[in-house]
Amino acid sequence: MSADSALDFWLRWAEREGALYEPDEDATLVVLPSALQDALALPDEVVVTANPEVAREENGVLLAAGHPALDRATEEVLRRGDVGHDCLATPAAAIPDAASLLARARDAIPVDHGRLDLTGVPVRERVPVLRVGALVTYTVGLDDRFQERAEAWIEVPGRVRLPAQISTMLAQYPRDRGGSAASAPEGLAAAMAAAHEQIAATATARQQVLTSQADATRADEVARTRAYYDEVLAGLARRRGTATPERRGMLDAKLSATRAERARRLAEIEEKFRPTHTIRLFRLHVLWVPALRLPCVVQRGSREFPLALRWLRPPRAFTPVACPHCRALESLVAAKDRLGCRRCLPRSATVAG
Amino acid sequence: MSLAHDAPAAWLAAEGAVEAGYADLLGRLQTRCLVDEDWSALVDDAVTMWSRPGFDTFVTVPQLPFTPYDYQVQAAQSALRRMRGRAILADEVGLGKTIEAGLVLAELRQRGLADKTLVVTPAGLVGQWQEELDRKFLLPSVVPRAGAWERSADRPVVVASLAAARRDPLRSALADERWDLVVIDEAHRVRNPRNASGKLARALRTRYLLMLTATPVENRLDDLFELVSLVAPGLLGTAKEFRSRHGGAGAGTAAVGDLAALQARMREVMVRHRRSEVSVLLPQRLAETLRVAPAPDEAALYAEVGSRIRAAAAGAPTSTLLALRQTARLVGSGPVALAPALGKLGWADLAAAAGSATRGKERPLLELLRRHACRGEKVVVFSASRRTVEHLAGVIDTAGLASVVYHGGLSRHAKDQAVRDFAADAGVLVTTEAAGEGRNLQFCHIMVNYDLPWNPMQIEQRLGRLHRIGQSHDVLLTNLVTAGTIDDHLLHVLEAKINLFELVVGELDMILGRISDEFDLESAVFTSYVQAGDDAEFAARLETIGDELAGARREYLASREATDLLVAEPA
Repeated sequence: MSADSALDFWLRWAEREGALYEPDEDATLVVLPSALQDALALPDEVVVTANPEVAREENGVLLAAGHPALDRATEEVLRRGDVGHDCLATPAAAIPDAASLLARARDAIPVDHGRLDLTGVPVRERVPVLRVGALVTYTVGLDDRFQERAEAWIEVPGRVRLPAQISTMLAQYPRDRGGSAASAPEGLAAAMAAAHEQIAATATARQQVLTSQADATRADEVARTRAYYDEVLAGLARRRGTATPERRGMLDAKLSATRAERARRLAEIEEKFRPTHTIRLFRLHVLWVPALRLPCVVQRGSREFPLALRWLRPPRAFTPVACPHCRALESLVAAKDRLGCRRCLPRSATVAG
Repeated sequence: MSLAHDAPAAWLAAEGAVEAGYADLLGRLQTRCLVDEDWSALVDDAVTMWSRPGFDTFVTVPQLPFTPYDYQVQAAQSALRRMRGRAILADEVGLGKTIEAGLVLAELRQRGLADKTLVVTPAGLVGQWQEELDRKFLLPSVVPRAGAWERSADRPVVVASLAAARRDPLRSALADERWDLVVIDEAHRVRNPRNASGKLARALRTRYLLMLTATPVENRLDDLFELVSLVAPGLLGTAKEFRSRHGGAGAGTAAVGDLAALQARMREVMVRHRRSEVSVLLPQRLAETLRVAPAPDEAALYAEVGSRIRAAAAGAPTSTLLALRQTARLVGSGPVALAPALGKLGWADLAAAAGSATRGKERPLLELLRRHACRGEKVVVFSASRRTVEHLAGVIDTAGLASVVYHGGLSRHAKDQAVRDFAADAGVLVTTEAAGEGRNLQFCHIMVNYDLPWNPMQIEQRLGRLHRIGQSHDVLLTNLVTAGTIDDHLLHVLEAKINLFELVVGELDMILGRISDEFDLESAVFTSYVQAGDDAEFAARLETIGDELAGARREYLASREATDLLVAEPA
């Protein structure tokens, strides 16, 4: 982000907080409401700029990266987060007929030893999809300290993660701004938990790789630092052994200072390599996506296992189907007595066929 | 199945979910609020500002008002990634160690890793550091006064002179602080663990440490050991191991044992670029001196001013000495600048004489400017005195040459306009030292020193306005000096002993710093002048100072070679 865009961000934020501003050629006059004056420790009228020379000569505030007023705005915006419901516009394209939808479902969602069949007509609905945005901060030593943006898209009723090609399309699809907000859908907290699990699992895996990479470097640095200070301390101790009483006091002080320095340095190294990651949420949207619910069954001989499928109209794709037992996104198998993924079914049941 | 799926309400109260902030946002989602598109965009911007990728991507570079060289960014990346924020930046002089340190600082700061930064630098470079941090890295700084400094998030960097920092009360205040980053400029001065500077460096507590020096090793290998041990204790082993492997306590750099191993270790902690390795080639500096014989009345005026200054200086208090020194300096600028200063000293007769004295340097200046004007060349004329600047502009205009005036008293818009006029139409820019701070004057390559600053760093700064990256011509400098003046004697020493005007950028500082930490040539010149019985004795005293400068230059060159040897890539 350039200095100018950082300033632009701050002005937009301040305006939302009740400030008024008047851009000039190379500086902007801002009138702040009293709450912002207090929060930012700025006067009621202030000239802000991204140009250091202008700031100096016009006694203005240089709003560049690291300025507390900018940090405050960033922190405040992130703290408040981006929350709300949104409706995707209804596609103009015609809805596929039931037979065609069933054929697509059979291609997209294969079920071993079973066959998908419709049990009713497709029903129009809006499926709530949870969009979670988070920032993950990783720290493993200095060179591995960084933040990454993470997103998870979860279809709320099924608590299933949407693949990237679907979520990308949903993010870009036009919104229907005329609608009013719905109430929170059922199962929202569970969907949030699923989203968090996804983000946390990715972060943990990343963290483990980073940690293992840094371990050898840390051990090496600690060893050589210990050896260095051991030698210095041993030398001081030797000199102290043969020193006159007057010099001994001075050497004692030096020993003590060196021990403190060693402890400090070793602590610094440990601190430098301590692995951590933190997840910070900044976005929680519920997108209401035009969809068709297909009441289905999986048939195996005379046995039927009910299954509800959802066809998302904008991406023209089915939401993935999770194993009803473990929630894993694995291929389903129709066993003699239940439907599930291979791991959730007794081995004999899947093999028996 | 996880707790999250079994009992989402309980999950919301669990540590990870609370830390991430789910419950709060969920509560607001229940209120049926719609997504606010503008706010979403604002949040995306905030995320971009808050996100920091790994150090392989420098987030600050696109925000800077200048484009650093690739080798400077690489040096900063090495310091941050390979050396984990503790490094010796040892580029040859003039390649921008300050820029490299600034990049590291800005990057750490932007990532929230350097809220508290200390720069320790020789006293003469405090202002330059402040200017560079401010203009190039948008980082305002504060200079401690009386052992304390204003702790303000607005001024995140403390810039302290080494001379002040190594003495109490400032020393204790700095040592008590827990710094995120400490930058020690001209770090060869803190090598010795037994002197005050060395003790200060060892007392500072910091996570990240940058040592800036073009000459990390002089002629003793122990120099290197001490410096490296500050940055990465143990990297070179223990002192005993180091000596037995690479040479004895006083061993010189000429006979290093196991040189390849030492060079390999140095690459873990030191970055050094040589001018020959990078594609930053500055054109030459070419200097000439126009010695102007003063008219009899002018010579008599200067002689009488000199006598009165010498007489008044004996036993004078500091304030008077400063006024006398200022007056002595203005002799070089000529009668126009000198007259008011003489009046202030109560020497009305001399002030009146100065008011009507011949101004011998004006004619040769005009001749010089006409020659350049005929060739279509623009010229910057420097003078330390604003009065002289304004007077000369009038003289130049009267002679039919277009000039513009630039000095610190102009508003920013007037300064911008002056530079624009100079770039467009005017052939001459007459200016005080204020010219070109952060201004692009590289379209001009000819400058005239109408008077000579006694502080060689000021001469360097004047030259630096034109002789900088982007200059495509050799820079031609003409010193206009009145024969027999202090400027005349000083110029002789600076040219003859250290070839001042044709040094590579930055080398002067290396030379002056070697004489002593607090060496002040301006003060030494004035003291020599007032203590000398006559001009011959003054010339002899200056010669001695010049010999010291020449010795310092030889030392610097030897040190540069030694450093190159130790950081060389294996053949």
